[in-house]
Amino acid sequence: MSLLRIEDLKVHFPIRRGVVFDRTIGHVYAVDGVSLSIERGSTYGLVGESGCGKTTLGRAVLRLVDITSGSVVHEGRDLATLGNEEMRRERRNLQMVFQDPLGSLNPRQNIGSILMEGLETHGIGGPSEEEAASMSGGERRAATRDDRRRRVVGALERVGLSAKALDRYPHEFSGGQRQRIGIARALVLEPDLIICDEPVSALDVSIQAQVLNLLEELQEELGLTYLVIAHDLAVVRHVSDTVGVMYLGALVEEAPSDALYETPLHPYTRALMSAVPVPDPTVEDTRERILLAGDLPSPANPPTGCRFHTRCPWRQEELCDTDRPELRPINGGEHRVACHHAERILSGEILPNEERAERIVHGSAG
Amino acid sequence: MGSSTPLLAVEELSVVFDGRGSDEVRAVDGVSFTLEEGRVTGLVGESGCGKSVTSLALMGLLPSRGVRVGGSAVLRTGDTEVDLLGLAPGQMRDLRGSQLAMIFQDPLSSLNPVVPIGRQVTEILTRHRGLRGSAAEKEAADLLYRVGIPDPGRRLKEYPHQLSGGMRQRALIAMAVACRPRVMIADEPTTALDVTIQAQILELLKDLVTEEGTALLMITHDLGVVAGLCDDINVLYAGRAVETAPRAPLFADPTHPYTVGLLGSIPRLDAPRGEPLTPIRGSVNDNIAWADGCAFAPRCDRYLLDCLQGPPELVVSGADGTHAHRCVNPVRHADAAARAVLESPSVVGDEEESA
Repeated sequence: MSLLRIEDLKVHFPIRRGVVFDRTIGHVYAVDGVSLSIERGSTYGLVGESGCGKTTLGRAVLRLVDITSGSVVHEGRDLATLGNEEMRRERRNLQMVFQDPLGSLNPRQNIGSILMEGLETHGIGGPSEEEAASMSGGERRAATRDDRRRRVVGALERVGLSAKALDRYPHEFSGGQRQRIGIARALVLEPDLIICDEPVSALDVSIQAQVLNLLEELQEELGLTYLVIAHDLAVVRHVSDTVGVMYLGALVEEAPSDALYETPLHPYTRALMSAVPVPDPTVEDTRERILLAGDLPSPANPPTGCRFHTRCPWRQEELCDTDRPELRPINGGEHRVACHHAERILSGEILPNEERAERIVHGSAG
Repeated sequence: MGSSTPLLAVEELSVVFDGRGSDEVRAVDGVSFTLEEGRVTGLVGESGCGKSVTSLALMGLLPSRGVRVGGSAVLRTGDTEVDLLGLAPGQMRDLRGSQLAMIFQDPLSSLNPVVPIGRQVTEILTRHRGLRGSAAEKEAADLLYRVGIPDPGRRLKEYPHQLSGGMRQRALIAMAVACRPRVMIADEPTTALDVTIQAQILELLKDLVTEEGTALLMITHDLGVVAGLCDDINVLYAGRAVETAPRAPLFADPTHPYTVGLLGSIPRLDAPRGEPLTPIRGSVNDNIAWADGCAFAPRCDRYLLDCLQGPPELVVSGADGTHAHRCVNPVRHADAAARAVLESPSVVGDEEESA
């Protein structure tokens, strides 16, 4: 059974206008019907460009934004319907690592206090009940303090820091170390799922690799489950077992990482993949590149039918602008795609229209 | 690095910031490179390596106090040669915009938010080309159209916040190319943009270089961008070029351990899933001063005692003399593959003590 199952999740933000009368004049459809499931011990990578709703989706799982409709099922419980207090307790099992390591650590709290806070909030650590029964109040508090300290130091050591960090403040660390502290803060609660929202995008490349390797090592040692949200397809492919590609609030394609790279089926995935630069001049000179025309449409006023049809080089006269495609399995396997014409595009029956793309550079010709 | 005379020759550029009360900071420490017509030269490095300060020094945009700029940057315009670093502010203003142009990283903060795009584009046309009124407006619309902004007439009346990120960067490029500059400096022009938009902007820059013969200095941290766009590449570390080469040999046969480390740190889209990354250990905080030895030595896997015997010289390898590295124990192609994988976290623990 999967650890986390998201079903038809929708998060719509109201757009309000007016001073006296607070009228809602529309909605931003940030996440508009996403279903996915994450298996225990695996990594699910969510990739998309800015404004596609990937961060909102991650925050909605933790109920950091209000869910409009749909369900998020974790261990048989629907998180979307929990009360605030129940949800607060549930967050012990669902932790988040944020993008900006400096912005997400309180500059006036030392590292020990930052890491201890979660344990205190959730009442984790301390002597077992039998032991506690024979202790006085003071002894019990001391035992609890020692146990929590041991857990915090353990988490710090796992991420490559030491107990010396406890009395320091966030500004005393480099960017990579701060991100390690962010990971330690999530780890210390021993959660089931860690949501990593752009875990490496604020870091330099050499530090990125250190953090990515750390995440993998921790997963192997502790059997963690990750939901990695990132805009960098190469990073997502590197860490994920399954990759979901989002465009304008919806998943357009979902597949095992290698299958997605080998046969991207959705036109958007193909364009996205062709746009990622590869640090190898021979590959750069010969690969196919599909330059999309224009920008992402506004999520407040998404196009009818397929969300991508306004920029799609493979767009057809029928269906594309009228029917919204559902995510459907292709070849009966785990590869799912939301495109009416996926098979015909794959077989080469439908060719990209050169007028609709800004430019298509064919690999062989280059 | 062809045989023709370079358009801009930068020799031993150095920028030193006076530390108020504390030690001075050598942000750029003897960087040399040349720019040629119709070619793209890349400056690659991580944050703090001095790549942006180099561009600011060339454009004369550093503050006049508290900074010492050394070396020379000779720009050839026709038969005359001028050293950009020695020009009076007034002369520099004439060159900036007409002969030299710059594209900044963040398009929103480099456009004036309270002035319409049109006024900002025509300003440069008025200043350098003397165009006024409707003539300037027509030229501005043409420029926007050339950089791929649809419906330029309407966009000219709009304010920067009404444009998307990619569109703003295009508007900035339009302003940069307005006077057909000989030299263009692009400082991380696509870092703030999404990949699909980045691909559009890179194609646009490529076209401008091929069609206009502009010399482009591309400053970036992204080796992928470099592989696709740049002809000659300088890899900077702690203010010095550690490796200089045309792009094919740099990627096929990197010699400096830092370049090898950078290439090993990047997850590649075409690499199989789970292929381990080989990060560079430590961080730039571990660096030592160039005067004492190689600044990269504390993070280097191939570190020898020789590395601490003063600053290493730039050594030319390669048959045609275009590939140079600053290392006493360079990586040969054969042993690059067999390089040992060093784990980083233990090192980070050590680093913390000195922090």
